[in-house]
Amino acid sequence: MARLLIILLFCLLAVSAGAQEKPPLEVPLGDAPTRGPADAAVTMVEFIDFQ
Amino acid sequence: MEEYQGKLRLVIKHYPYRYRDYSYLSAQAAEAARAQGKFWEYFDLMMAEKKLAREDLIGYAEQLQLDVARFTSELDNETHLARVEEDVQLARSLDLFQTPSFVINGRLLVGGRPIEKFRELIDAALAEVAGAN
Repeated sequence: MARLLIILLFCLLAVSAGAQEKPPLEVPLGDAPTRGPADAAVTMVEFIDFQ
Repeated sequence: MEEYQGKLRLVIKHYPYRYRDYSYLSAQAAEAARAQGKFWEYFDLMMAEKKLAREDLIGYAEQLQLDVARFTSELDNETHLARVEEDVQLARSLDLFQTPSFVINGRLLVGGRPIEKFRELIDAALAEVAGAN
């Protein structure tokens, strides 16, 4: 019984940890200015205030 | 940027703060330079010089040999304001409230952070992409 409870607890923890992982933010690039290759592995979108 | 040459693409979205004097103006100036095909040249110059008053912004246009009359008229007539506002709406829709905010392959990084933090996220994103292939 105790073992079952521990297993259940682990399952719950795993599920809640998974839920905390945020889904990736999708940013539509539109016609934004870009620098670097279009097929780059990593895209970094900067929301910038010049001041 | 050079460090990750070929692997990294930088995308700029405007997120000027409404209550600063030159935030909106400088964003529109960058767009006016873009209308003449010199966004990044203008961006780099503005970042290096850091002064953002109207006459400074027009001075950069002169330095880059843009059509200054056109640049000035677009700046004064807020020709590119709607384009800037589009980005602001996008930022708000993503619940971003600070600048700079970075989204690196979908991962959010808020505020000015040490370069190591960027390396960490970029390297993680690169590893993820490599793992997926």
